[in-house]
Amino acid sequence: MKLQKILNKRINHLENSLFSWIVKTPRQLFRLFLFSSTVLFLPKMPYVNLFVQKSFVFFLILIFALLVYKVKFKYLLRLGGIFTLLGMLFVLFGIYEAGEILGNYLYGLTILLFFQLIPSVDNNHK
Amino acid sequence: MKSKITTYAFFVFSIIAIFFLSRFLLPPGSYIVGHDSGLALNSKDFLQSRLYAWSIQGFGQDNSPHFGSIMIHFVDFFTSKLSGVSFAGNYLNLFFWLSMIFASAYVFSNSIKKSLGKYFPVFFSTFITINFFIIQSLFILERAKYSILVANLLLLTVLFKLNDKLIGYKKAFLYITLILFIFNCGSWLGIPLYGSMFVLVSVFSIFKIVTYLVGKNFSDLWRFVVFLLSLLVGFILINAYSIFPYFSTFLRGDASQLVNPVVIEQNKEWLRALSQAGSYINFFRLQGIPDWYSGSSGINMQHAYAYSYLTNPLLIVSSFIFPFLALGALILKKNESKKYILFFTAVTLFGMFFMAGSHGPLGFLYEFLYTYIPGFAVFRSPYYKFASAFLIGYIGLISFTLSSFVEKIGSKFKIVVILVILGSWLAYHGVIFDADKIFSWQKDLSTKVSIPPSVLEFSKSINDQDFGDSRILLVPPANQNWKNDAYNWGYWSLTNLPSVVAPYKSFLVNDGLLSKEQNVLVNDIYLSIKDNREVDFLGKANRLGIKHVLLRKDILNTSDWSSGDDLHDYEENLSDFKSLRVKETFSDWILYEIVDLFPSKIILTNDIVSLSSNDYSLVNQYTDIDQHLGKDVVGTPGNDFSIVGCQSCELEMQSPNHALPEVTLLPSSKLYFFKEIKEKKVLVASSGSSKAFDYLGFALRRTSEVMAMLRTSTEDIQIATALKVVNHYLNIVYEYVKNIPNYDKDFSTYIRVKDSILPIEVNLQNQVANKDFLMKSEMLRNEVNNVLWTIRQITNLYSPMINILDEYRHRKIYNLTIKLKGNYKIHVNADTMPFDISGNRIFPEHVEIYINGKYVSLKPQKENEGVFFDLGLMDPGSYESILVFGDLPNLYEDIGFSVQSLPINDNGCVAGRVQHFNNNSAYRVNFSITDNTQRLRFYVRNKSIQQSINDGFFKWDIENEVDSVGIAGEYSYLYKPYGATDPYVYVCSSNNSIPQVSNWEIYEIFSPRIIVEKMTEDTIDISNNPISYNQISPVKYELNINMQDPRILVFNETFNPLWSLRQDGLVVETATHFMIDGHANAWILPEDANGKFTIEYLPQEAFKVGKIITSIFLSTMILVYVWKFIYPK
Repeated sequence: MKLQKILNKRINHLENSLFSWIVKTPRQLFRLFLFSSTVLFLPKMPYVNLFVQKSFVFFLILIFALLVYKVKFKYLLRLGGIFTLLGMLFVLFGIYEAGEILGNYLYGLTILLFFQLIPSVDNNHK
Repeated sequence: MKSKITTYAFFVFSIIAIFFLSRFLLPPGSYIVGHDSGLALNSKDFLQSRLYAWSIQGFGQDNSPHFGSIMIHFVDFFTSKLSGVSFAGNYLNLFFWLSMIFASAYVFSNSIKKSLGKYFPVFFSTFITINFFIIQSLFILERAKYSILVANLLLLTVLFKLNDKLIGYKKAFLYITLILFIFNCGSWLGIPLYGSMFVLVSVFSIFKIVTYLVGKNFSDLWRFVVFLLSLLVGFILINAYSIFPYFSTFLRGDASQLVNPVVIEQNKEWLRALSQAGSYINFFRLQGIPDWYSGSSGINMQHAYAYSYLTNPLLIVSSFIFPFLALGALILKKNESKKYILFFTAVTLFGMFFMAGSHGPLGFLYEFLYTYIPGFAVFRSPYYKFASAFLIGYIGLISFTLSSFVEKIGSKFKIVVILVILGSWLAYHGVIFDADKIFSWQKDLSTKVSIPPSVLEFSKSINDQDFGDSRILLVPPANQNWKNDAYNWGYWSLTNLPSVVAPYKSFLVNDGLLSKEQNVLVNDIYLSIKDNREVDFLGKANRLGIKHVLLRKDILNTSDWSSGDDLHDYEENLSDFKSLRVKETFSDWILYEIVDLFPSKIILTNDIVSLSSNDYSLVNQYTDIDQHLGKDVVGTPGNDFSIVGCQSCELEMQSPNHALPEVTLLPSSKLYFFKEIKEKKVLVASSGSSKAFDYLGFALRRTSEVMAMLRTSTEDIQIATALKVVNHYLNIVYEYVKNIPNYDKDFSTYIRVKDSILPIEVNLQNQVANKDFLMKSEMLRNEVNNVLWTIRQITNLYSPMINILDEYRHRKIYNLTIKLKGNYKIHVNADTMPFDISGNRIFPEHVEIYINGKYVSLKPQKENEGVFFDLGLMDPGSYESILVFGDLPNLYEDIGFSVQSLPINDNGCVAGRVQHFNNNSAYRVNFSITDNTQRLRFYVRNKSIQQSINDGFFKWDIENEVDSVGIAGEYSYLYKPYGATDPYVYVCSSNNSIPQVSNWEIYEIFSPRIIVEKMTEDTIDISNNPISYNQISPVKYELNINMQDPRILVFNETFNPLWSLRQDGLVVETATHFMIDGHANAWILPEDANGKFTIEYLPQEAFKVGKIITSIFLSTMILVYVWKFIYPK
């Protein structure tokens, strides 16, 4: 009973947080929805599907999700570290395709890190 | 001060270490040679040969793209001189390039160490010098690659100094143009190497432009743009000596190749193959070198060390340290270092995108650029072209992290930590200390070899001799598939060895330098040696300008994949030839001279050979040696020959094809509209016969769409509409065929029509035979019937031709076209005749020629290797001719019954053999099925294949299901041998019972080629040599012509429109320049042409002009620099 109580409490808390996030950031949610659905639709479109590959779609979704949620620089870095570590394990155990996907995400993360770095550059190299 | 001393000490120590490393890898006596390294064994002559726009090797080649490589070959020559040998692949050359990379990396990193840490140069310069990008390229010492890497590093140094306002635009311009003059991509064929420079300059420019735009600093922005443009102009001016000569060649050929969609599409496969391993995860690990992989993640087991690095757990884990270190740079960045970190990150990201090529997830973008950006197609090997930019960015990030880390630890341990880091890096790249591995490019093949003394002797002797402009034939010939030159002491290259030993002598071998036509000519002369036909050999040698033959007994002559032709026959026959004398022997190499033969590169003739050179050997059997086609026939007009192919034979060779093309978009789709527009465009644009065949093609495709719609239960009305269009198209084809004169004898049109209508007919007939067809609407059924009826009408047009199909076995039909009135002969050559049961050739009994409304029969007359028919005097016109053969034998030889092991069970088989097999013919195999309850299969296998190598089962080349169950009748199969030598045919039952078949027949289906000869009686008496000439250089010949007939001037070098005939320095505009003999240059001289002429190669003129511009520009720059140095303000 006690466990059920704790669980209920946690679920309530989670629901409230999600609700308040939706209320506070409806625009981001809309953008995320719009973009993700477009991106998911792309590989199914005739002709476009000839060159938009599934791996590219997932790649875009991940990058866009990180942008929408405005993940902080340090968390992006940690995520990069995790991806590298997991990638290493996958390659080590011969699951090369999974390692490659993580490598792609790491590349995307580096792009995000790069863009987050730009505003902090001083103007001394004018 | 102490820090400075330490820094310089590190620099000096490293350079010494590189020296010892080079010496260790290439100890005295060992050199890098072969593959496609361009490392000459006579570096001095090779450098000199680079000063000409035409190379004399083979039949001559355009050399105009290679002027830029003078710099690189100068280093080759200089280092070989210093090391006391003539070989470019010496240890000092290796040392030079490695130390240049190190030094430039050091200069670059040292210039920004204030911002990135004082230990940054230590790591950066070491890592840039030793990594897999460099290690992989050591086996052929890719100097152009190194040169661009050095240029990139020095260029960045200048750009960063400009950015920090330590130098101004003028100085930056001066430095950069000088850098780009000294360090270039070698030959202009290496222009894609500038890809990495493009990435670096683009990233830098974007940074600058964005900064100016954000700061609204438009005047500075303008100055920067002008600076970039002036750099481009400066680059062109300072490299004018190499750009100008190549410009005309580029415009005439390479430019169109770059934007040719067909070439782009073909090269896309290469791009995809090289991008297979170009994943980001590989690049983050500083790997992804295409040579390491087989497929996207498989390992190239031929590679000397890829397996270790891709499978060893310790090495895998070690490789993942690099991405952590690179990410570390983003954490450890400081205010003063941020802009560099940002720059390195951007370069890394850009570089990775380009290096990955067509590899996902962004590969489609690269392919888009590759397809649609004009000129981008040069980047078809992305890794090699962009990696050096990526390395600078990525190693910059890694080095910064390590430098920051070292700075944070106590001073006592700094040196130890630095040594541990450098040691670990070297240990990880430990393969660099293993010469056996880094110079190996295939199992048991290395570019590091010891040159045998015989080659040195040959080099010394041959360079001292004058061979004029004659050619030296290399024997035995090169491997037919690889076109390589390989020796049993280790040399393997696509460039023949003698040509890099003596670049000023012209060596001829059937290598990749030759065109298809030239290859035929050269292979012909090899055959004449192999078959011991000395007279034939002499005639050919004369025509090809061969005065000497070099027999190389140390040629790789094993059963290896790249071995040359068997040496034995050549060696024996050459020593038997009376006209050859041994001129000199160099251990395994023997130089023969052809006595009393003085071949001439420039001749006058009256004979224009219009035949394909493939047919020379056939025609030459009917001419005297001095009249051979392709031979010098000064003053003796050759008879006019033409080769005529059998028309009806094509029909016999046809295998029925029922397959429809694949379709992706059906008329039921809304997007089908676009397909229809395209179809209409094609039909409007085409005309004549091609229009009819376009209709036929679209009818075929639309039928395929109909079949797909029938399978997917599309509404009947849509299918009926599509069928209506098919019928309409077929009606157009019917009208077209009906209007062709003598359409019922037009074999080639029938074959094309049949190829398209048969699949339509068979597929629709199958539908009609299906019981579900009755359920379809009447409208649909009517449309199907309409189409089938139109097809029947088309087929009926050809019924006179189709009804006598069996007769074509004995009656071979030709169409002779006589253009000029004269006496004619038809030669029938033995090579294309069938065999009788005793192995003798069967010749035609007579020929029937349709003249003046009736068939005239002519009897054959015997000649050397066949028969001929004397046609007598013929008027111009088109004549149907029929070669009539008597009975043709059944070539089946019964082998009997046997039980063969097949994967499912043991099967009983009856077998037979093809007697007197000829792999240039096809065979019709017939037999009767006498038991219609047996399941039978038909196999053909070459005798040499006994069992499968892997499992021992019965092994076959061809397998066919015999439609025997329920049907007792005839089975017929058209067998076209591909590479078979002694084929056996089998019919096997599904168990070990005896297959019940009988009446075996095997008939040869042959296609004789006939040679029509117009007899000529005219002769011209030549008492004086009409021409004398002198070779001034590989690009200039002076000639003196003292008669006006014959008027065709032949210059026996590879045809190139840039060769020009001049008189008094002016191009002789009235002399038409054309290709003769399928490969050489010729001019039709005007009637008043007499006196002194020159033949010149135009790009050499451009080189002269370019050289002057470069010299003026370079001297000005140096003067300005000196002036600024003396008077700084």
